[in-house]
Amino acid sequence: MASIPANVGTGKTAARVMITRKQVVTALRYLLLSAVGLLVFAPFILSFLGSFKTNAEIIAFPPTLFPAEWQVGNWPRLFRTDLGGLPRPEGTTSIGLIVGLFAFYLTFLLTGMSNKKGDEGVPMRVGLPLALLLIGLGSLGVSLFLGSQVPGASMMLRSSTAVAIGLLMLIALAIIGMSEPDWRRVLVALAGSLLVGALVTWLFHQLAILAGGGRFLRWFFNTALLSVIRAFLQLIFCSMAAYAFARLKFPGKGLIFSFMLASMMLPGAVTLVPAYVLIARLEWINKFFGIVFPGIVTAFGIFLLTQFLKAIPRDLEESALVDGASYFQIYRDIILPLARPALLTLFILQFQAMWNDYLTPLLYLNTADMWVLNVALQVFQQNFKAEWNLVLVGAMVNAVPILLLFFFFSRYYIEGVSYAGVKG
Amino acid sequence: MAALSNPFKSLKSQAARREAFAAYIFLSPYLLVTLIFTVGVFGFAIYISFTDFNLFTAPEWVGLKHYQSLFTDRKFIRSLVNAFYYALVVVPVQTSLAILLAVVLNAPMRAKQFFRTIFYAPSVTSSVVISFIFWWLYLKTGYINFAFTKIWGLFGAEWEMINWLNDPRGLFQLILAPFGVNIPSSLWYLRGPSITWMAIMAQNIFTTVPTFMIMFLAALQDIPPSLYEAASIDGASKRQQFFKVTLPMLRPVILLVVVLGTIGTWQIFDQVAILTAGGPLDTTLTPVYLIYTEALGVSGPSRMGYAASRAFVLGLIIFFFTFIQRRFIERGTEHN
Repeated sequence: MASIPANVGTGKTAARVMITRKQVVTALRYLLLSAVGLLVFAPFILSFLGSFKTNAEIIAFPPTLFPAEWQVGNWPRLFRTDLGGLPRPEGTTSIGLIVGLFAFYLTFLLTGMSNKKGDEGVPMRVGLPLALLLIGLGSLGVSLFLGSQVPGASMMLRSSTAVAIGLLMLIALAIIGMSEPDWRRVLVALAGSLLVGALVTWLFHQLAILAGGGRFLRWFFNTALLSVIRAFLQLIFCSMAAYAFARLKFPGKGLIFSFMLASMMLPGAVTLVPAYVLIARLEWINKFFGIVFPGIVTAFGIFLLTQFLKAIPRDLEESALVDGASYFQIYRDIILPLARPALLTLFILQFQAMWNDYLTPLLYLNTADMWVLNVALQVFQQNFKAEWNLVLVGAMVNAVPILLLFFFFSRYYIEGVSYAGVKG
Repeated sequence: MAALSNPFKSLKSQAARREAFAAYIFLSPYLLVTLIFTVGVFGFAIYISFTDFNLFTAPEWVGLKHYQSLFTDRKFIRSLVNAFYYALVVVPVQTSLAILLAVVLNAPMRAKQFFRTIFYAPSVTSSVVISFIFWWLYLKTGYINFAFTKIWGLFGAEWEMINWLNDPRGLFQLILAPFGVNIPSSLWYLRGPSITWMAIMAQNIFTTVPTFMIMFLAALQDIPPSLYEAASIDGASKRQQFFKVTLPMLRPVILLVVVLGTIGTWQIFDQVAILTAGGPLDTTLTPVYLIYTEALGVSGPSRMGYAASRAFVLGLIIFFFTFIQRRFIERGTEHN
């Protein structure tokens, strides 16, 4: 490019001016970007450096950039601080049950179905009632477990939780049951999954007790579990709904889809009060249920996946349908693998949304052993007002996992945000 | 013919029925959750707003009481004025900054990915963490005052240390003070956003610009290069290209960003709850914070009905503003 003006003969000086001007613009652009980048990142750098300063140094004026002496001990000190409070049985039981439910789901959906339809074995009229009985027993088990672990568990808490978990198990059974499966296999898988769910429930119950009460380790454990479980459940339930919207024909589809889009515009403040009253009446305050159950599926997640699925070709599914595959098989073996990039995007966005959420946990979780990092950080700051270095360590512990996740998967992040923006 | 086509038709409808059945089963978790936690809760909200109750008493029907007290509710009006100032400043500033950064970043260059990642860091971090970091930066002995001291020092002036998070002086009050004009506290709405409120605005702009920048970047990449080629053949300068090609093509995204920004700013909660709790002198009180404190009875008895009615009014205001914006920006598209 640079040689063209010279050849044309407009004069060498003009060409040189052109080049230098272009270079100056480029240099200015990099300079501007670096300046803005530094400005944007400065708060993180300053507070990271600040987390190694002493108490006095961190509020001294004029402030310094580097700590005079690196107080590496600040970080372990944060994890040793204890704001008091023991792990209460209600909280730990709710953590166990939520993780157990998730383990049940995963095992059952993965093992509940063989690819060939069995004509031998248990017929549907025997298999279905038996499966329903198993699910009923599972719900009863949930209620009994709550009754045995939580002293003075009310009837409302036991029944609301048992009904919610039972309904979700019924949905799992319906998904597999509609595909004319081998019922013997379904029964075996159901019993096995209930067992796995029970084992995981017990395991995480113990882990939550081990993690302790008002300590950072416990808050980290709470936050990580809530974020992972909610994001994973959303992958399952949002992708199911998105499959229906993108691929299946059914009456009322347009209406339900428009309703869903409209509900995305509803300000959260409007439903804040009644949702709190409802959760309080179900006795799900200070339990994981109140945060996980309303959030197992979101309109945003369905919308994102539907848009993605609509854009991928249908050839594979059509030939699979001709071969006699059921809808569940198509969903599990064709749709989910194809949608992997969109699923990863949704997972990262929802993980981040839960990790960064403040208002919901503030409303629904308010004892020391159930806090998430965001809520805990505020209480922590009120208790350690004079110790800004510790507060900054706490802030860094909260920010680092999300920043790392973003640095490794920034492509998926950016795709998710721009996808929602451009196609919305 | 009829006899032949009938079994085929019934088979087809049977397959269609199977498909619809499958679809509803796949949708059932969403339908269940949305029926309870969106539709049910929304209906419940309407009912609650006509009653008086807290968590421990039964709802008592009081009719329009909470809506009648709307215009004399000084605290609520104050929170609305604050939120209005907030949206008025934050939405235009964050939108234009995001467009500017996106246009600069969209040019072909090295290390684009690097800059993008750096810029995006504040918006992936939790608002609680950002609030604490800014709290520390905003301390009287913090880096912000330090930076102002240095910059003022360059011009030989003395910077008066500001207590950023506890300063109720309003913007117009500060501007008019040198002329000897003093706005009385009864005309509080004329004092403008307080220093504390503007500090929180700056923090919020800092965290939201990157997200919106990503949206604009994606939209910029969808603009066909042929449009710019045609424009430059017609002799349009860079600046003309920006106003005649880039901005019109970005219109749908601008609409989205403005609407999302409006919905977000009117519902600001986290920063207020952590940094100021509505103070100083209610200059940072926001509607959602008021609704939260009244519903839970943080200061005084819990008033669920009052909170629900205020939430509805807030919802209507947000709806009104997004509707106006939509009309305004879409009408602009027709003119082009």
